[in-house]
Amino acid sequence: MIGDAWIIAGDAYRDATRRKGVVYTLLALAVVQVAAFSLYEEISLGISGKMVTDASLAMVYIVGIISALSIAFQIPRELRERTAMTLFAKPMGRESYLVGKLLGISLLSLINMILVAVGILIIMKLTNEEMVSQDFVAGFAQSAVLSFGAAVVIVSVALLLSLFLSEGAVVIGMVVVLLLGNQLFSMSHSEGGMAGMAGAMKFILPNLFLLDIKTEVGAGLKTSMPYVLTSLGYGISYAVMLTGASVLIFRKRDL
Amino acid sequence: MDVIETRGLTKEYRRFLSFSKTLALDDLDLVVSSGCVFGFLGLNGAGKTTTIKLLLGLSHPTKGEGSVLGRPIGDVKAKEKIGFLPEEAYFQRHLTSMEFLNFCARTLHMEHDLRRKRVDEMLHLVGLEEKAHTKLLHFSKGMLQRIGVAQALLNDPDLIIFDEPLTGLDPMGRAELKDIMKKLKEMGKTVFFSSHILSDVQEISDRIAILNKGQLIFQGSVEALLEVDAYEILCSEVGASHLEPLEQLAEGLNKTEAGWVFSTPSEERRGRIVKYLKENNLKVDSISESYQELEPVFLKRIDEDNRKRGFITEGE
Repeated sequence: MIGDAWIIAGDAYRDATRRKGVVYTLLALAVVQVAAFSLYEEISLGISGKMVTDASLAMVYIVGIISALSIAFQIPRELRERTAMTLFAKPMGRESYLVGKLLGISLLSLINMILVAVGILIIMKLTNEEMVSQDFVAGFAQSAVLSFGAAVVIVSVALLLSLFLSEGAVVIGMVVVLLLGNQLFSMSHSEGGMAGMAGAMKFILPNLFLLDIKTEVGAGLKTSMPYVLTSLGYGISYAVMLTGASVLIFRKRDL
Repeated sequence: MDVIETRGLTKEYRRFLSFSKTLALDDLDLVVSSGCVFGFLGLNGAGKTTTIKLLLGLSHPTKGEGSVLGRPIGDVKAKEKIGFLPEEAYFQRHLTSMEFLNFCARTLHMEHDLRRKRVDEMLHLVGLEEKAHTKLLHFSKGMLQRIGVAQALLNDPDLIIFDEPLTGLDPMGRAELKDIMKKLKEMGKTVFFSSHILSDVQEISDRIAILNKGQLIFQGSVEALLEVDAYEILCSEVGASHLEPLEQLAEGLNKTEAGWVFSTPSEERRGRIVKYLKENNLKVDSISESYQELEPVFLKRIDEDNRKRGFITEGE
């Protein structure tokens, strides 16, 4: 099963990297980020270091999410155009297909995030060497790792939605989950009926708040390694469980 | 040995957010034996593609059961020896033809060396060697159909299932595909294909099944379905004195390079002609039968079934 999943993962990765829309969006983001580096000094009112850090970590996160989004354009299309029919007429299990898609797009997110994170750190080192201390790099890396955890969660959500919805609807669904996921923690700590609903929803929706330490890193606060590992474990466990549910549903589905 | 066998296979579709059901396939008992070319006929919506999907495990039956290559329908292991060409060529368009065949070969768990060999062989078979590095995105419908045939034959399958393979192909493409199907039969493979193009079905099929609105209305050899249109008796040496009495016995009399051909639609008259020739010591070189065209017989059967089941009332 794992061998088959890697075959699908390779194809999913290749499909995504050959899509000009995704590649151009990522390139445009890189250009914007590089251009913005020169502006922070002028607009930041003396807090350019924090602003650069915030923007850089947000960029790593956005790149991960955009890469994760590409799954929304693969599965619905392959089911609608019946590419999947040819595939499932071969000795290929449906679970291998879904796990392969999860692996391939997660790998795409990881590689793109590493490229962007390393690129940003090199530019920062060249433009403001004293800012890039060992502690800063460690915090930056921790935040990037957790952003990858969030991207994996988003891929698994998109995987599930892709079994029912068209491309556009999957993207909208992902954005809704993303927004709710980020707001869940603060909503559950508010008062009134909203808190109760948010409390119940956080057992169903992904709690992306756990996977976000950008503000802490931007403020120069350290995050403990156990917290990072626990949060990453939460993200991966959530993605695994959701993919398991997707497999169960997909096995029953008529193509 | 039976390559495909179904018993009471039934498929109902429920519409989204609705209690109403559509019966796509009703109690199908189908038997396809090894080594034959089996034509699966039916009008649009008869249930042909539904049957194929069930056989391949792409859909789940509501009722009934079946086996393909001795394993339960949908069994993943059986698919290692099945080749499938879908109705429309739906493939990974971001891949080149060589990458696509390599990808398919990997899903078939083929070893590296065998994979390279088979991919080259298949590209050669379908005449797409020069397009090996062209993306499928740039392929015409005919070329996609050819690459579809290549992927279906990659694993040297025992059973090849083609869903409407001849539709949309130009005459040259149809002839090439029919040749491939005949060659597969010579190699001992079983070919199961659905089609609307009845002349082609008649030409290449050993056995056929006709499906109408989800129900099987005929299954058997082509000859069993069609009545003999004419018997033709070839006689190379016939003296002029015999022509007049033979002309009275036969409906048709034709001089060919091989000799005289006497034709009659009547079995009884065929016997009398042969008897006359033997009594007069004239050598009978061959007796052949030509059959009716499949199309009118097919349409008649469909019409009869529709009337029987009340889909058409008298006077329509």
